[in-house]
Amino acid sequence: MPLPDLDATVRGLYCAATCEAGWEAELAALRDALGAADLQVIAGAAVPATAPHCLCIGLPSAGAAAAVQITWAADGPPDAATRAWLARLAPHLGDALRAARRLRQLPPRAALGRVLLERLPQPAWLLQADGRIDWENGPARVERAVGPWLLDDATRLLPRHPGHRQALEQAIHRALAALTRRRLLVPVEAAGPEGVAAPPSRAHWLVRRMDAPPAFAGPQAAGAAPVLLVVLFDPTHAEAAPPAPPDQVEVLGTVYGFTPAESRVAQCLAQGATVRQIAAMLDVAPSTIRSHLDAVTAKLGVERKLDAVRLLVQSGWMWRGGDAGGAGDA
Amino acid sequence: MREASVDALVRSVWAAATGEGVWSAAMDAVARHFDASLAVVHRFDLADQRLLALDGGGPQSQQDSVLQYVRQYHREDPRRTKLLEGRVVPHGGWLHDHEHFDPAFVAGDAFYQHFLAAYGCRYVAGRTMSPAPDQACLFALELSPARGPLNPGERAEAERLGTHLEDALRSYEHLRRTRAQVLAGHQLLHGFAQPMWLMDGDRFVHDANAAAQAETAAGRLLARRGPHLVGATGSLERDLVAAVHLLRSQPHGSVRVLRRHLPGDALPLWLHLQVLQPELSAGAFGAQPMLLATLFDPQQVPSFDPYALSSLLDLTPAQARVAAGLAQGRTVDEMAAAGGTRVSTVRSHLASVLQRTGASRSDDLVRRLHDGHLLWGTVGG
Repeated sequence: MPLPDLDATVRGLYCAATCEAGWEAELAALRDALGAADLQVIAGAAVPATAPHCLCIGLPSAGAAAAVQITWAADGPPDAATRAWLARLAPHLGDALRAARRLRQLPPRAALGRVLLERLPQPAWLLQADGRIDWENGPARVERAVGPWLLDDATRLLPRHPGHRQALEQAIHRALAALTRRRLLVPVEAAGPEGVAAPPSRAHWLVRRMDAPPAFAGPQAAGAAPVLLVVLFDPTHAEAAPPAPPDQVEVLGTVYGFTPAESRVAQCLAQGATVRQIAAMLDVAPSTIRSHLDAVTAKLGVERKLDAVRLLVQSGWMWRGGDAGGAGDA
Repeated sequence: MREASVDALVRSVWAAATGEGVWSAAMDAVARHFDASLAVVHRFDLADQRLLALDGGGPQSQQDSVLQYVRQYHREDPRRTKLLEGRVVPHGGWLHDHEHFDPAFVAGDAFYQHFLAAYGCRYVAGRTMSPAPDQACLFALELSPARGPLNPGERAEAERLGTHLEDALRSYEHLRRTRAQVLAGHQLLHGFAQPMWLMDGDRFVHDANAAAQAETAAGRLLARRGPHLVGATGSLERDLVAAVHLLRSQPHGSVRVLRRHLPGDALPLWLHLQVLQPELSAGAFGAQPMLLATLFDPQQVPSFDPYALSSLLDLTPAQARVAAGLAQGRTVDEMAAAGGTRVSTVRSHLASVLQRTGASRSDDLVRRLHDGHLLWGTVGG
C-alpha cells in the first residue's frame, strides 16, 4: 500500500486543529490512508506495542502526555517505510493536538460574541487593528445600508463625511495606543475640512479596545492583536425604531404570558408609542388599548405604566432580535 | 539533513498560524534555511492593494529597510505589481525575478538600484496566496547577489513550504476573525448588568460575569455545585435539567424561559436559556454546543454612570442625576426627598432632560436610557 502524501496529511491535521474541519474525520482519513483497522489518540505516555501489528508513538509536543495508537489487521503490520513516515508525522500530530485542545473552545465562544452583539439595540461593529470590519450586528447592517452616516463599503467603516471619518480614525488610533481598556467617546459633529458643514447631530461613536484575556489568547502575545468594539449611538435614532418582526410578538407571549393582542400593545409601548398612537396603529379604540395595557402591567407585576415600559425595555434582549424563536414555558 | 530541516520550518509556520508561535520567528527560520537576507509575508487589502501588515525574519528584518518598504517603497516595487496582477505567473505560481527582469531592466529600475542595492538584496523568489476573499498575501525570499537565485533543489523546498503557508495563512485569518468574536463575547458578557453564565450541555460553567457570581453566592435561585450551575430548589433544578436537555439538540438561537416567583417578592424572575451552536459540521472535534443563561431580575435596576450620561446626552450633572433616577424607577417626589430639593426643581430638571434628549414623555426617556445601557451603565465600564 503506498504511503499517503505527508504534506497533505500535515495540512489536513492543522486545518482540523484550527476548527476549519472535523478533527475526528481527519484522523479517520489518516487511518484509512494507512490501511489500518484502528487509529486512536490516547492520553498518557506511549505503551510498548503488544503485537507486531500494533504501533504506539508518543507525542511529546502535545503538551499533556499523549500518544497515537494504530492497529493493523493481523496480516498487514507496518513496514519500515510506514514506521519512518509515522515518525516524521508525529511531531506535527503532537503540535496539531496541542493547538486543537486550546482552540476547541473558540467556536462556541465566538457564537456567544455574535449573540451578545445582536442583543445590543445600537449598531455595533468589531474592527481589526487595521480598520477592517470583522463582524457587525443587525442594526449595524441596516445603518450601513440605509443610515445617514456611513458609506456602504464592503470591508471598512467609512463615515460619509470627511470630518467624521477623521474623528473616527483618530479615536481608533487613540484606542489602539491606550494601555487601559477605557471606552472612548467621539462626538459625530466635526465640521468638514472644505468648510462643508456636517449635518447637525448629537450622535456619538463609542470605541472600546478589547484585549485577549489570558485564558484563550495564544501563548504568544503577537498572536493577540487588540480588537475594537465600535458602537454608534444616535439619540435621535430612537424615534425611528424599525417595525418589529412578527415573531417578537410570539416571544413576548412565551416570556411574559401575554395574549397576542397584549404582546402587540407591549411591543408598541416598548418602542415609545402612546396609547393614542397604538390605538391608531392597530386600528382599535383607545379604551381597548388601555384595558390591554392594564393586563400587561398586571402580568409584569407592576402598577405604573412607566415601570412597565422600563421592564419591557430592560428585558428587550429577551424578546427583540431575529434569532430568538423557539419554545418557552412559564 | 535538508528534508528534516524543511519539516521543522513547516512546524514553525503552523505554530505561528495557530498562535503557538510568532510569524517573525517562523520567517527567521525560513530565512536561515534558504540563506536569504529576508523572508517575509506581506498582507494586502484586495480592494485597494493597501498594505495591511508585514511579518518578516532574517538578518535584514531588523533593518530600517523594512520600515522604508512599509512606508513608501512597496508602492514602487515592480515585483509586487507583477505578482499581484497574476499575469506573469498565475496566482499560486512562483516568481523568480531573474527569469522576468533582464539585467538591462534591473540596471535602469529605480527600485532595484536605489532601494534593494542599498540593502544588499538582488534576487527574489515569491508567490501569492489568498487567505480570505478580501485579502492577498505575498510570500517572498529576498536574496543577496552573492547568494544568487534559488537552485532547483531549493525551489522544490520553497514550493513545498509555500503550499503549507497558503493553508496556514488561511487558518490564521480564520482564527483571527473568530478571535474577534470571542473577545466581544467575553467583554460583553462581563459588561452586561444581568447575571450571565456561559455553560455547556452538562451545565459546566465556562464563564460567568460578576452579577452571576454574586447571584450563585447568594444562592436564592441558582447555585454552583462544583463547576456546575444548578437550581437552588428541587423544582427549579428539575425544570433546568429538562430545559437544558431539550435545548442541547436544538438549532442555534433556540430559547427556553423559566419563570419563578420568589416568596415575598412582587415581581417574578425570568431565567432565559439560549443555545449557541458553533458553525461546524456535527461531530467535529470540540464543537460542542454551549448555553447562555441570563437571569432577568426586574428588582435589579442597573446603575448609570452620570459622567457618561451627561457627556453623551449633553446634560448638567444635576440633570443627569434626575435622568438616572427616573430610569432606575424612582418618582419625582422620592428624588426630591432624597436630594433635599424641592419637587418643582426636580420637575424643571426633568423638563430640561426631556427637551435635551428629544424624548416626548417620561416613559420615552426611560426607554432611551435603558436602550443605551451599554454606553452609560457602570458595570464593566
